[in-house]
Amino acid sequence: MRNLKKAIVGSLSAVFMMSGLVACGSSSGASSSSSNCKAAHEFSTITTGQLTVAIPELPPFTSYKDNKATGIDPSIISKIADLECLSVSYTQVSFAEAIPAVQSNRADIAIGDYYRTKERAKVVGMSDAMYADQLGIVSKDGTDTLKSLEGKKVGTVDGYLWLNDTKKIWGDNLTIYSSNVEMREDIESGRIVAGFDSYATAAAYSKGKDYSSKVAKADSRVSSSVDGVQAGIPYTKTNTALGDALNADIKKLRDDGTLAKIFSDMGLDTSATKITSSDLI
Amino acid sequence: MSETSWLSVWAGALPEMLDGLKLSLLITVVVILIGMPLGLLLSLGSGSRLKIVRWPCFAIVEIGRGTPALVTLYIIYYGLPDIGLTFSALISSFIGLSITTAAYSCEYIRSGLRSVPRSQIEAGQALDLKWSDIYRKIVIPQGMRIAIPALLGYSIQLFQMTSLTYNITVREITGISYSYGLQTFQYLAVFALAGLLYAAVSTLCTILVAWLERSVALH
Repeated sequence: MRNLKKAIVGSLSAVFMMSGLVACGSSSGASSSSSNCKAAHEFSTITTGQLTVAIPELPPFTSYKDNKATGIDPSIISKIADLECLSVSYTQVSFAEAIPAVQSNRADIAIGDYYRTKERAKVVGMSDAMYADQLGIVSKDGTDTLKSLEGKKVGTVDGYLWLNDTKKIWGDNLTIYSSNVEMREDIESGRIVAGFDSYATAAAYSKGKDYSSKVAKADSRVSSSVDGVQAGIPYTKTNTALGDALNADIKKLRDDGTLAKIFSDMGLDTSATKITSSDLI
Repeated sequence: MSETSWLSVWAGALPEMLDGLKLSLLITVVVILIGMPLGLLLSLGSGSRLKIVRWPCFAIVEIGRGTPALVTLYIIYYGLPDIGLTFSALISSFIGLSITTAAYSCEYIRSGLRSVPRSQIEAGQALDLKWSDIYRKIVIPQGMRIAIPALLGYSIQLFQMTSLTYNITVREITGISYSYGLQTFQYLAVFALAGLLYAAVSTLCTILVAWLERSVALH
């Protein structure tokens, strides 16, 4: 009898724990499609009628709090979902988890200022550019040239396109951080004199601080400071129909001024939405 | 299916990961050289008859064992600058992991010292040896021989623990793997290589430990 009780209690506990675990990875629909809606394109998603999106934290591009996604990328995704008559389901992840989620069909797409590179396009599908991003220098003295920082202790967040170029210039004087949270700590403590980050991201977290974010002036040794960088949407590589739909929708949103409006509504420079080249870097 | 084979990813990542491996091994060696002698001092101190010596040693050991190594690393690297103490990432990793190592090795050494038969100490007293001589010539040599297998086992764990230092920006194997994964999105291939490197070194060390255990075994 006691064993039976134990078994029941154990089973119930396991069920609660499992439901808790499932809840941890659960998500909320940001929008829903109406029944008479006609999708602009035909493609399949993991869950019919729903676009599953992996979202890491990177304001102002992406933010997910209280079951609500905000930022540039979710605003764009919301418009794309409307065009395709889909509801949006967000799954909060770290940057390291986002792409494996797309690769393994746990998410249709990932968002978060993902730079479009040839290397990455070998692994996931990469949509056309939504907007351009810039190399920003975060410092207390407001410097905007890379040359002025030579020989000094600097840092950058891991994964950015300028990582290898800056590593060649600064060598051991370059500290590489897993996120900008740690880099900001080191700027504040004076361990490094400047950090390299996405300009828009750095501008957002520098507000009200004793450091500021400036767009880096072009420096031929760091190609991304000359050519700029473009952000796209990584999607499951085998789902080419989804990729085609994303590209068509992004073009439509750019042509009708929606992308520019999203940027201006957030107080950001709309020139970032003007894309001149579609080549992967 | 990725267009890039694992072998080509490994070929690209390996040179930098070997640099990371060197750094992981350097941290392991330095921490052993600092942490284990500290552990010996703590084990002797915690066995002292003087409360003023015993209690601080006991407190250090309990804090060192009770606080996760990652938290200790965060306190030293990110916390101490708030009170004006700023260390580099590498020095912070030496300090943080040495504290943890000292606390754990203290326990291994203490149990080793306690394993020395009481009659050995009594024999020393009968010969009118000083306490310091009894410990230096009788207890520590025998106790350490007993503690060595456990300390060597811990050293292998310590090597794997160095992966935590990635969180304070040390570019060891894990840090380089994560970085390479972010650049290429080939997480599985990259981390599989990192796992193989850890496993290869750990396996080699395990064989070495087994040989050393046989060498120092009491007959």
